[in-house]
Amino acid sequence: MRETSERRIEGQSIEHVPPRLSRRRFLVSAGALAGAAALVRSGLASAAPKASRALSTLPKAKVDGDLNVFTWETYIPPSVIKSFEKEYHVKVKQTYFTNLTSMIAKIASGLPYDATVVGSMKLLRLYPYLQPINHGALKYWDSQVLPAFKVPPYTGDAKLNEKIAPYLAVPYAADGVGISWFTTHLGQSLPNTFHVFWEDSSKSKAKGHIYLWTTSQFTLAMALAKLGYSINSAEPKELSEAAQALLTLKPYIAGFTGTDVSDVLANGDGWLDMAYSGNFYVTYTTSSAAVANTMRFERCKTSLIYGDTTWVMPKAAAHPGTATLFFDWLLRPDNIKACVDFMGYVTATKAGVEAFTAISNKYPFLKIKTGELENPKNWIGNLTGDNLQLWNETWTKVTA
Amino acid sequence: MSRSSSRFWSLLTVPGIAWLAVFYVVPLVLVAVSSFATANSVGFPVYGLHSANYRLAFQPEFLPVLLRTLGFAGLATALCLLVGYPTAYVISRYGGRFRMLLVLGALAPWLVDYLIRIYAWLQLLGTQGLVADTLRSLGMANDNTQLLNNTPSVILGLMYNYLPLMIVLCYVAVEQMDHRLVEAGKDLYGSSARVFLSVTVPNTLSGIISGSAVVFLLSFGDWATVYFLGGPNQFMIGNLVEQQFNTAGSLPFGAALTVLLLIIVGLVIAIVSYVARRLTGTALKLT
Repeated sequence: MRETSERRIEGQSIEHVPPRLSRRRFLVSAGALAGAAALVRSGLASAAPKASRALSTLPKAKVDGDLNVFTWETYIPPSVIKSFEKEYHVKVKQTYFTNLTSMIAKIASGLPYDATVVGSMKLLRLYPYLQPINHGALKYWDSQVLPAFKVPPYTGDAKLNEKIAPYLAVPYAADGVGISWFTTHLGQSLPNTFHVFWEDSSKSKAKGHIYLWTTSQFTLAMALAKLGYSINSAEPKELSEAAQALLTLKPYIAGFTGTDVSDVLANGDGWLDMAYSGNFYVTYTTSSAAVANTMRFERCKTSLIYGDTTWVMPKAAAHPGTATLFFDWLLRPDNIKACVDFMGYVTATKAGVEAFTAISNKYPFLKIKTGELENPKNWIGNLTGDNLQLWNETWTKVTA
Repeated sequence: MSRSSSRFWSLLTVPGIAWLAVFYVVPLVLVAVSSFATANSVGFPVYGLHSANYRLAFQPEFLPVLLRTLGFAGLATALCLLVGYPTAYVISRYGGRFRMLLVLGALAPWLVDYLIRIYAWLQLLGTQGLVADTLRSLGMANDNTQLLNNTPSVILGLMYNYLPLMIVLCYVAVEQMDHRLVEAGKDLYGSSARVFLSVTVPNTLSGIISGSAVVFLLSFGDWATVYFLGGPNQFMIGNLVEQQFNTAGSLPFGAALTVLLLIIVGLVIAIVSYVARRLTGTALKLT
């Protein structure tokens, strides 16, 4: 029955007046509606991971549609994409993300990307939203992927490494964190250790032009390494000391920048920076000779911090067959070489190491010692649960 | 009004109410609900009734961020008023038939995307930028001169972004003022300064208060200006919230910070509204 309100007017009959939407009523109704919707939404969101579809069979390597790739910008050589499109008569649509956290949030939301790349330190967080890879369907998997990377050393825990290995398609871009600087401001050589950021001579000279990373895990790991602790420490005391060390450095730094420090290198503002050798390599090789001559990079030999990105297939992939073909395409030796030449990162594959060695001979700052990649201690770990909370809180205190 | 006609007009409000409920009230409630949740492996909320996020938000380390944010927003507001009010006054009183054109001119930067405007400052103030180069050529700067990553660059960015709003709101107030009052003041031998302070300012107070409130609130919640133009020591509360969503991947803590931010904003609006009512006798109008 439709609700009406009644109003008696002096000396007149009862008048039926349609209900007025009072402010209070609107607020109560809207609040109730919002509350109900929020509860429904919260119920759905909590249940989302459980509702993901079960996968009984591994995808076959066959074209089942165009390919939607979710990746960093300028991460795949255009020639590799074009040749894949030509070979399989499909379109490759690339969507770019700007940070791993937003990428993970989108994949976890169930967006139907067919292939994406994820940093090795985020794998444990993402893997519930991934589907296993049909390694048997990858022609180049056995011959190309280095034995130590069939089950990669990313997490520092052998059992966890075994757990995530079936979900990893192509090890793609491994690199160690180092120090980049301009010789015009800091001289020809610096000690290849992270202590350099705290040394009076270097931090005073570069004051206001030092850039560390906004990617908290690496910056805290760098401070932990400087203090002689494990780069994956879970000790509150050690993390607190690392935070304190970074706070003492704050008056000297210009800012926290993304892991890609190319901009501050290219515009000459980053006199002393944390840098991936790959980013440095790209900036170095695209700068004029006069500028490049003033740029230096050292990977910190005493405290290595390695990270990798690896290709994976989200559970919600709409075209897993084409994605499987794409992964195999990326593993072809000529394509691996093209990728390494394009990015300046080593890929943990036979052809990748060969291509990287060839570049390293020309640019010695890129060189990686034998065994560095395989050593689990060198890899930035995966933060989860209480440890993740601890690192986040520590970092928030540093930035606040 | 007949019953059917009244019902018709009531029905017309339904789309608007539904729009507000779905796209404003529901997300707001979701944020509030999420603030009591814990985070799962990817930072998404696992709903429940936990106070940990609020306990974390009230840790003493965050007090400087809050105070800094209040300081930056207050300073940006004061500077916007200092520049915006005279601009609005001059346009209104002396702009003649070009008044609307001049107001549109003041609003022109807003036709360009917010981030592009900040990037423009990045190019201008960078080490190799136009301003630094000019200062160097004049011998007023050297290679070590830093025009970015400091408090002045952040205040400049905030001011540049929100000044047009101050100008427009003050302009409306000056336009609505009965200028015969100014003439009356002068007829009573009031000096220009006295007439301005005793007549013009009180009669345009609604614009001053509205403009200040809008600029303060927008500056208070801003994060991109600090992100691009500021350094590690200019972190504002908006950056703290952004960090939880984009870097730390901790939506529940970000939601708790957002709720606290909204409470502070609500308090500011309530105080300003009260002051406005006391001073002008009317409630605060933000538009």
